[in-house]
Amino acid sequence: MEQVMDSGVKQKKRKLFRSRDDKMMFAMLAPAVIAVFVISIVPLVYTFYLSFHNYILTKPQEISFFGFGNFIRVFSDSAILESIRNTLIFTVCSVSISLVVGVALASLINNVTRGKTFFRIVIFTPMMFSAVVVGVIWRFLFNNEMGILNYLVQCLGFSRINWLGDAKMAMVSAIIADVWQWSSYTFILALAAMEAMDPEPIEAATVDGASAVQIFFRIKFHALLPVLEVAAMFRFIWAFRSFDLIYALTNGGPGTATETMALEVWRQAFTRYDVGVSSAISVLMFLILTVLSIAILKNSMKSD
Amino acid sequence: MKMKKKVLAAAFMAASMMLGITAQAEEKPYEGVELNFLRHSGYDADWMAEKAEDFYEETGIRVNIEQVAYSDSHNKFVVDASSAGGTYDIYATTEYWLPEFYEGGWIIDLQQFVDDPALMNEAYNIEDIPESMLELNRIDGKLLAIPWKFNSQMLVYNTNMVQQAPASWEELLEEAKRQTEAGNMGMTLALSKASAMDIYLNLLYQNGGTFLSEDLKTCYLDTEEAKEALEFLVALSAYASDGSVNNQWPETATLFSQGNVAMAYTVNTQMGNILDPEKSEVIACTAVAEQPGPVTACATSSTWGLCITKNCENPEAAFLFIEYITEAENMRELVEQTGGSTNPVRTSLLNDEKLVGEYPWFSVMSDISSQDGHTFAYPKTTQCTSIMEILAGHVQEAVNGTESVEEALDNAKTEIEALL
Repeated sequence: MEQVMDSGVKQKKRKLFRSRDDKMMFAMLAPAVIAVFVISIVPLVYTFYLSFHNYILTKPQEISFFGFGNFIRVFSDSAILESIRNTLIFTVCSVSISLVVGVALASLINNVTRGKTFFRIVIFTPMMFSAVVVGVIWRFLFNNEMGILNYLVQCLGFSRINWLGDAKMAMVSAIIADVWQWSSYTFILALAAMEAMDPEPIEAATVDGASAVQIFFRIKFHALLPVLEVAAMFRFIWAFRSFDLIYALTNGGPGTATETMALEVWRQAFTRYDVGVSSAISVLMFLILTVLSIAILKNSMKSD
Repeated sequence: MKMKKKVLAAAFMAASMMLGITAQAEEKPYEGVELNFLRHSGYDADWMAEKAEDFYEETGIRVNIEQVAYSDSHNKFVVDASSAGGTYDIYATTEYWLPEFYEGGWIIDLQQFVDDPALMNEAYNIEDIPESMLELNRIDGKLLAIPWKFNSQMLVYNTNMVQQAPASWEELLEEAKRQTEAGNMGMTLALSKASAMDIYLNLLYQNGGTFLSEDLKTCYLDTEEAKEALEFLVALSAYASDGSVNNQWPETATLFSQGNVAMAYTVNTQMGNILDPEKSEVIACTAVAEQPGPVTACATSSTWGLCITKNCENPEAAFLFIEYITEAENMRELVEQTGGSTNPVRTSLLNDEKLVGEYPWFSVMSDISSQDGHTFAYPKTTQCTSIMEILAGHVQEAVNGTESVEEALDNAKTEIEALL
């Protein structure tokens, strides 16, 4: 209980449990912590382990240590490099557009006096669908001959758009589907933040003759920033890992135009049966997301 | 005395009950067994679900059928089969997936059950399934799946627009161009990642080309035949719907059935879709022909069979279900119920006058399967799925113009040989 420090002053060693309440708290938290550890940490560590091994799924008995071989293959495979590029394009575009759309919708709805709840529900609904369902719905909407979007385009006097068959348009289509689903997330957070804002500065600015745009950018936006930072971080993580939507919509095609890292992880593991390379890509994704999350959180704490 | 009579009567009744229970147990030795069966969705999937109920009534074996889209079926099975606690007992597989499943040790040899007189009904008549069909489902002498149907691809055309089936690539291209200029859609193609390689491989073989060497080490996509096949496909796709690169077989069939498309490459399983009386506009004007080619009319074919997984705790019960589903009378019923979309492997049914009369494409399928050089199997390698994906991706790039024909074939060859 006591130990002698270099200075000769005796100090009491800190107890792990200072009271019965501490013990009770630990006992209550332990199952959840153990569950998180088993579900999250163990697979993560195993994935790291596999990324340094040559492991073919159909020959599990022939697993062997491979050093950085899988990572070298990741960075020398043009298809995987293209998937990294596609992932970054998809993520940056869909996150930034969904943030703008979400905030714009929140600004509009915030000023609505009647039917606010109705609009809130309608705008929030896309988020309730699973990504696969969203992918299938938009696959039909984007269908070149039978989809309603091209029907509307033709009604307006334009030629049909090859939404999913053209390499560039396929990526645009995937971004549209993702923005449609996830703008509601930013919308809900931004609307809640706007409703919680102190109205006095806004009223004062209005009295002083500031326009709506000036009020938004000079007052509301600064109040929204902390919320938007968190929203951006989560949106980035989700979009970066997006698999279901793109699989259902284009399966990475045409060619490799919409092949993302998440799709590549799946393809390497369950089509090529190369679990080592699949794990290496997973580790790379994890590192990118961890660095980004830390950077955003640090920035957020600095501004606090 | 009275007591003795009562005891004897009670003993007699107990013995009778025991005999009844034993007889019932012998009739239904696997009663109470529950099996999980994973397969791709489609007409015959619904039929199998109905037959599973009849099978349950007869045997007491409950078979739960889970249907998934064809494009998802392989990966869903792999995820399950490769884990120790996999849930599926029976799986519907095509024969070119068998090498990878066999290498993974995920499926078992069915020959042991075929040879077991206690399980194999004499009336089943396995000789009715051609040895060539069974051989497709064998590796190292082990019978890994019992086939129930085979698929191949044909040309369908709308007789209101096209009077006679084109007999060559030139005629096909000319007809597609003529129809497009007349305001129709000349052609529709299923060039999604799940089917683009089927279409390209057909053209390669029609042009007298070869895909892989016999030792499966060399890929022959650098030949003149391979180049001409892809050039033809690129030219043909100019008269096909713009969305062809994202179309799967059902979408192609739906487009054709709407009546605005002159011709389509399709697979026999879509005939029910194309001739669906509730949805199709082209029932009275659809004709079928073999896909023409410069060297030979031909198409790749594959069987669909039922296999038993290593995770199955009651493989005998699973085999009984497979036997039940694939017996001749049930196969006839399946053919009729699916409007001929199911092409049976059984010789007796393929040559049946009544069936051939009702489903005229059976004669095309028969030509494909019975004539030398009119059909080709997929490469029997564990890398087949990966190879097909690589090929499909580059075919799409060539059709879209993002790679030239030479680039697409060179890149595909390089990637495929790296896998081999």
